[in-house]
Amino acid sequence: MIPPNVPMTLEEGDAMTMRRRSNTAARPQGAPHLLAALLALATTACVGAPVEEAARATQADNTAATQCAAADAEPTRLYRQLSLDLRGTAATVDELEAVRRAGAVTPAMVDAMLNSEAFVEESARWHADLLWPNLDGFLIQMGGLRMTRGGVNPEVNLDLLDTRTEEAACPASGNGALTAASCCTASNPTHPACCLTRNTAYNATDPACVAKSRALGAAFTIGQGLGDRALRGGSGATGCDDALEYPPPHVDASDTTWLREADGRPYYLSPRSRTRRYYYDRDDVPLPYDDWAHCPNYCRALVGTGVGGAFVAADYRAKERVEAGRVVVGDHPAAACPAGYTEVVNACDNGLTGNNQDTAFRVRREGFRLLRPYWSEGHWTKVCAYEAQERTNSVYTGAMCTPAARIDASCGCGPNGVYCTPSQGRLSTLATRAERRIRQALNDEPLRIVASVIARDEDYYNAYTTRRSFITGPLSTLFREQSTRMSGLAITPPANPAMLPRVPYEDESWHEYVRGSEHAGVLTTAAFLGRFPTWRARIDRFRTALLCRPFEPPATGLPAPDDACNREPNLAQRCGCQHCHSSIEPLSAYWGRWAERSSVFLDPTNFPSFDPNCAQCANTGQNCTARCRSFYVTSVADADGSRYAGTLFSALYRSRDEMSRMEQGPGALVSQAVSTGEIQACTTNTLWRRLVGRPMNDEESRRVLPELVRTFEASQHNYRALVRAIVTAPAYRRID
Amino acid sequence: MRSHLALILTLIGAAAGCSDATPASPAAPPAATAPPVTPPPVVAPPTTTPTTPRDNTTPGSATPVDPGSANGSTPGATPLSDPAMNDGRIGRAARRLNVRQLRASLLNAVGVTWQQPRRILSADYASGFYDDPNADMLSLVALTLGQPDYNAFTSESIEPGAVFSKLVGDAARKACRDGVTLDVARPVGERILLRTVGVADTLATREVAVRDNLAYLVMRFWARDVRPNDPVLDDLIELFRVASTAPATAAPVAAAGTPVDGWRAVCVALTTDPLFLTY
Repeated sequence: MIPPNVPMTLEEGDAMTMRRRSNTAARPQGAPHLLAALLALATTACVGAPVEEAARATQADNTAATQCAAADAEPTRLYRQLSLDLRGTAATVDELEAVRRAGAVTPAMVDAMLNSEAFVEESARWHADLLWPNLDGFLIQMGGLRMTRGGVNPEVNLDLLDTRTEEAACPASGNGALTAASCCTASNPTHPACCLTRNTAYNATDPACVAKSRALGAAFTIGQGLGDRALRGGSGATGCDDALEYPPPHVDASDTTWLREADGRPYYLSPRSRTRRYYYDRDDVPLPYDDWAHCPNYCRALVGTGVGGAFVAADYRAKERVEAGRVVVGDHPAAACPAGYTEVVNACDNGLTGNNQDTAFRVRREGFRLLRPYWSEGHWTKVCAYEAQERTNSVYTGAMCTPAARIDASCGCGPNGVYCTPSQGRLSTLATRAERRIRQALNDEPLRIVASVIARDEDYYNAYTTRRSFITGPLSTLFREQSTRMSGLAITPPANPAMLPRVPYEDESWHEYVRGSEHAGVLTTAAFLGRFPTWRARIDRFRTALLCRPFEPPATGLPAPDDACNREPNLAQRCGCQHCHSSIEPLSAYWGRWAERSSVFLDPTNFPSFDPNCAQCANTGQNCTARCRSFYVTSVADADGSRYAGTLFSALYRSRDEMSRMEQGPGALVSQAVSTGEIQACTTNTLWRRLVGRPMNDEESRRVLPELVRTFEASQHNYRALVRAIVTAPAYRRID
Repeated sequence: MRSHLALILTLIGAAAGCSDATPASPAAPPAATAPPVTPPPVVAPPTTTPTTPRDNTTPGSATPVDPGSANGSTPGATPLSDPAMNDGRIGRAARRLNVRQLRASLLNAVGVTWQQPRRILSADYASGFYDDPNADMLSLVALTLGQPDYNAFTSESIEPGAVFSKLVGDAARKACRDGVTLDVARPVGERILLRTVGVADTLATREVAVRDNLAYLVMRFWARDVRPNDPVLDDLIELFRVASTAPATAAPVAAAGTPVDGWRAVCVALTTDPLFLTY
């Protein structure tokens, strides 16, 4: 009881303090904070026991404590425990009342929990502890390129062009100044807000809509390393002109917005040359806009300062002019080059310069186009004209447009913009919606597989062998249209892309489908292969999580570094290393057809275990292809190495048995583990540890484990049955 | 710290064991007298246990049956091991709620979770952040509270450490403040915290109703079945009395306590109690 003279406040934060204070009368002075909570608990829990008794209990020996603890949880507490374990939520008062009335937790109640959707979700979540699904360690660029709006995520304010708002007064600034219908007055009919006042949707022919679009930024790709410098010149984050709209490559005769040739090719009259210039070349590749601002002439020193008089970057500078007593840098009819420099005429085309030393000044900028890329939720958004190109291959080389080809002016973001991912910028650390959707879906995929197996009461190990998987709209877009151009984590589509479900990008629900025959449950999902990026990491996780046999170093330690035995290149035979690697290497062969640091399947047709072409380039010193360098032994520094030239990395040092395992895939490893019973025992142990909160003791391992495994086997590896067997075991119901 | 934790967990077990001796749990045997190697009592009474007609007609109730016969397993097939050979640890180890369970439990018991204004970093805004007036704080501090991200942290930590204690206190105070405020605003029949009492009911005016409500809250928060006159409620009664009748103070300025203050204090006490935070 609280002594009446104890001062108290009514701060909520003191509620616990007051309780504790009420219990401290009998506890020793200076006892730690947690002890106070302990005593509070003891007082509350051991009903009727005086505080002094509870305090004495803390000093009692283990036996005494055990005697107090040695009991089943009371039914309502047991029900709460079951609910938290099996459903991840606390029991409701109504449920607890039902338990009170029944006087016990009935089997029907347990079954109701086990049969609930919440249990399926919760048990699938348990598998995150085994599979560690997190691909944050990987850069994942769907389509290969990232697209920004000058350091801002292009998804921001995506709906502004299509938005009308109803503020009473026209706001002076902010988004409301573009959308408030009250801004559109008879005296200002081209105000941006008039766009959606006069039209039901964005109308490119309405001057108000044009004005509105000009108020927003245009998205452009970040490029590789130097930003978009190679393409547009300048500082590297130039982008196009947000206020200059480009027409489509071909303009209909009915469209009077643009000047056009008879064949529909749009043109304009250059402000600089007064001649007819085109927005696109004959291949429909955008051209920079020919005027002083978009294609400025610049200056070059009369004599190069580089080796042999070569011109280097320092030899170039911008034109200047004096305006109102101040020097203004940049091209202009009144600008000129300073003494010692000569003017360089900017060709204003897509050609590359000779030495590329002048890229900082040889700026070439185009305008924007209004598009609705796949990530825009159906909204119109501004995309720079180079990026707006939809072709799949370069018109100059015929090669596939990839991130590496970004210097190619004819390569843009592809059909529907799928080669470009919205991003904050090159150094962004915050994920955009499109990036989050993909990461989340890839991380969740293995848990969806597990959930489906448990929900359908299938053999639990189907989760590790099934070809069935699930796909969302973002994943469908990724596999079908973006995976051939991935940057960062490379991903092979799980089946022929044409056979994959076509799920609308905005649809984030899961749709079931069947993957290729090479797939094996969660073990070949991108999340597993990426999270455990090497063959050794994959078998290590498998052995640790599913067989409960982690690799451990030898108790005797490793041999000295200068021991000659360390020269053995095969880790499965090298002294010390062989302790683990004699198991790791043979078992890792099951993932040999899945490339390391990626989720790429190396199909035997395209990736034979030995490639004579790769061997030839390796042994003759020719340049090997990227494919050879990435997947085959091409480094032949010594005679031993040359013996293996042209061998698929995963086939290196493999025995015939191991080669067979490579072709069988990880599903065969699971089948083997099931046949020996090892995996069932581990599953049971893992589940026991989760639910009972401790590992089995020796006695339980001898007496309880076999019985639980038998129950599991008898149910055809039904996960619910195993969970039921554990939560109905006496050990689960007794709280120590 | 670890020894204190062990003590806490030991007595959490004691909580379950000793409580079986209370009149509220007549079906459970007195555990303290059970011999160590005796097969464990079946939780559910035998099928012959009579049930009242009311039980049979109440949704959610069920006739207890032998779990073995219902589920294909054999009772006693997984016997308890010998406590003497296993340091007395033969049952389930009590544990702290993990973050998701804590959030769900808070929501279930109080009706709201811990929400506070917070600046959230996000690429969805041009500024790179936004101010969320109702940020889900338990999600924001989930890593701190031990939730794994499977990248830097691959296993869940459920240590009831000082940081957990601090953050749970914050969560309880804010959630209970919001929860009680919301509850008072609800129609009488829809209240979840002040279920059997009125807003103005005090110990002096309606002690029985206050005791009934406390027993109800103990069930709601702790899943413990106690009677209104059970001594286990005495501390909570005292807390309610003190908080609801505290005089106004000048420095710091505080208004005089009201019954609503009392229920808020009780809510915080129930939420920060190990019986709520462990299972």
